[in-house]
Amino acid sequence: MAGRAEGELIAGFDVRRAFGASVVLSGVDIMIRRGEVVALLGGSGSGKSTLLRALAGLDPDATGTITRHGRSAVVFQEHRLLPWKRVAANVGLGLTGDVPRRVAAALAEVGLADRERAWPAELSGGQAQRVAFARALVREPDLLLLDEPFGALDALTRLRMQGLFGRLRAEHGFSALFVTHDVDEALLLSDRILLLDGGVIAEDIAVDLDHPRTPDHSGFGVLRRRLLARLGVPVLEEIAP
Amino acid sequence: MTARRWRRALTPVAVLLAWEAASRGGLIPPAKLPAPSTVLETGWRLARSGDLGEHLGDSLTRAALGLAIGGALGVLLGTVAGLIRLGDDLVDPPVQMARMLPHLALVPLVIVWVGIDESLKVTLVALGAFFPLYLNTYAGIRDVDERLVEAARTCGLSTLARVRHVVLPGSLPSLLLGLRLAIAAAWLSLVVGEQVAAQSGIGFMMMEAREFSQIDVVVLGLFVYGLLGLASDLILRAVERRALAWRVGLKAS
Ligand SMILES: Nc1ncnc2c1ncn2[C@@H]1O[C@H](COP(=O)(O)OP(=O)(O)OP(=O)(O)O)[C@@H](O)[C@H]1O
Ligand SMILES: [Mg+2]
Repeated sequence: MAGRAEGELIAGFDVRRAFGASVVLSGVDIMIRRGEVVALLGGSGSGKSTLLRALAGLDPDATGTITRHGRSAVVFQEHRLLPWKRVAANVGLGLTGDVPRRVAAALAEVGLADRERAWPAELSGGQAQRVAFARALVREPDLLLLDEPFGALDALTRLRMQGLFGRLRAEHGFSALFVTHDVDEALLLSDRILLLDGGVIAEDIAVDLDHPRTPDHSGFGVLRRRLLARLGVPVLEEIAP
Repeated sequence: MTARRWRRALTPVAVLLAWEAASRGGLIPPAKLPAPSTVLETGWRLARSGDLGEHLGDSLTRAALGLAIGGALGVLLGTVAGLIRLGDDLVDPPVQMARMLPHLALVPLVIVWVGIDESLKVTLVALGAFFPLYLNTYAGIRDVDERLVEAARTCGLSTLARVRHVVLPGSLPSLLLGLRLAIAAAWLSLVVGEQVAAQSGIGFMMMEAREFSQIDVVVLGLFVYGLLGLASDLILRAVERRALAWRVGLKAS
C-alpha cells in the first residue's frame, strides 16, 4: 500500500459530520505518520471529540475516507473502566494469549502493579486514568488516540501523567493523536499541532523544540502566543523580569 | 456492627413481650388475638403433626413454579426488548399497556381460563412476577452507559461479547431490584390465590381455621408469611452482596 511506504498510520480525507442542521466537521484532511505525536487543539465545541471518534471508527454517521494501518487504541477523557470488573480484567478486556503476564507488565509500567485485584471504584481519579492507559498500552498500539486524557485530573496529577506519557512514548515509540484544551500541554508533548476551527484543520504547526521540554524553553513563548492568539485568547505582552 | 444489629432487634422483641403481657393480663381477649406463646404452641403442634409442613410445602412449590415461569419470561422478554429495536417495538407496547392493570384484578378471568386448581395459583404468581422483572430488566439494559459500550468496542469486543461483558453486568443491579419486587408480588398473589380457592397451602390453612374460629392458626399463618418474606429478603441480600461486590464505596457504611 502506498500509505504504508510513507509510514502513514491514519489518514482522513474530507471527513464530514453534521448533527441535524449544525455542521461540525466540514471536510477535515488529516494524516498521522509513524512515530509522530500530534496535538489537536481547538475551542470548546469545535468538534475535536467528534473528529477523534470518527478517526477511531466509532461514528458510523461520519462521511469521508478514513484509512488506518496498524493497531490503534483509544483513551477517553473519563477512564471508562467497567465498574464490575477488577483492574486486571479491565486491562485484559478482549485480549487473547498470555493475558496475565501482559496485563501485569502493563500495570507495572503505569506504576500500579499492586492494584490488579482492586475494583475501579476503589481507585483515585489519577489511578483510574493510569489503568485506562495500561488498557490501551497492553494492546501494543501503533497509534494512540487520546481525547483529553488528562483533562479530568488535578494540576499536579496532570503534570505527573504528562511525564508518564513522555516516558512511555520514548519506550514504546507509539504515535499519538491527542486532543487537548491546553496549549502548554500541546507544546510540551507534541511534534506537531493541528488547530481545528470552523470544521476544518485551520493550522498545521510543527513544534521543533528539543526534548525534554520546559515552558521556559526559548521557542516556547513565541509558539504559545501564536497559538493563543489563533484560539482567540488575548495575550498580554509578557513583561521581562 | 454487631452491637447495632442487636440494638435493631430491641423494639420487635419489646413489642412481642408487651403483646404477651397484655394477653396474659386479660387486656386482649384471646378470641380476638391469642398470645404469641399460644401461636407458637399451635405452630409446634401443627409442625409435629406434619400439617404445617404440608401446607408450607405446597405454598412454596406454587411460589417457586410461578416465579420461575413468570420471572424467566420477564427477563427474557425484557432482554429482547432492551437489546433489539425490533423486539422493543413489538414487545414493549403491549406489556406497557398490560402493566396498567393490577394483575389481581384478573382473578375472575384467570379462573375462567385455567380453572381453580393448581394452575390458578401458579398463573397468578407468574403474572405478579413477570411485570417487575420485565420492567427492571428492560430499564437496566437501557440505562447502561453508552460510553462504556463504546470503550469496550475500542478494545475489540464483538457485539455478543459487549452484551456479555458490559450490558448484562451493567443491568444486573436493576434486575436484582426487579427480582425483589417480583418476590413480593409472588407472595401477594399467593395469599389471594390460596384464599380464593385451594385445598392446601398457608392461605387455605388460614381460611379453614377462620371458619372454625381457630384464631391462633390464622395468626400462625400471618407469622409464616412474615417469616417467608424475611427469609427471601435475607437470601436476596446475600446474593446482592456477592453479585454486586464491585459497588464498593457506593454502599452506605
Ligand atoms: N451526539 C450529539 N448530538 C448532537 N450534537 C452533538 C453531539 N455530539 C456533539 N455534538 C455537537 O457537536 C459540536 C462539537 O462537539 P465535540 O464534542 O466534538 O466538541 P469538542 O471540540 O470536543 O469540545 P470540548 O473541547 O468541549 O470537548 C458541539 O456543538 C456539540 O454540541
Ligand atoms: Mg471533547
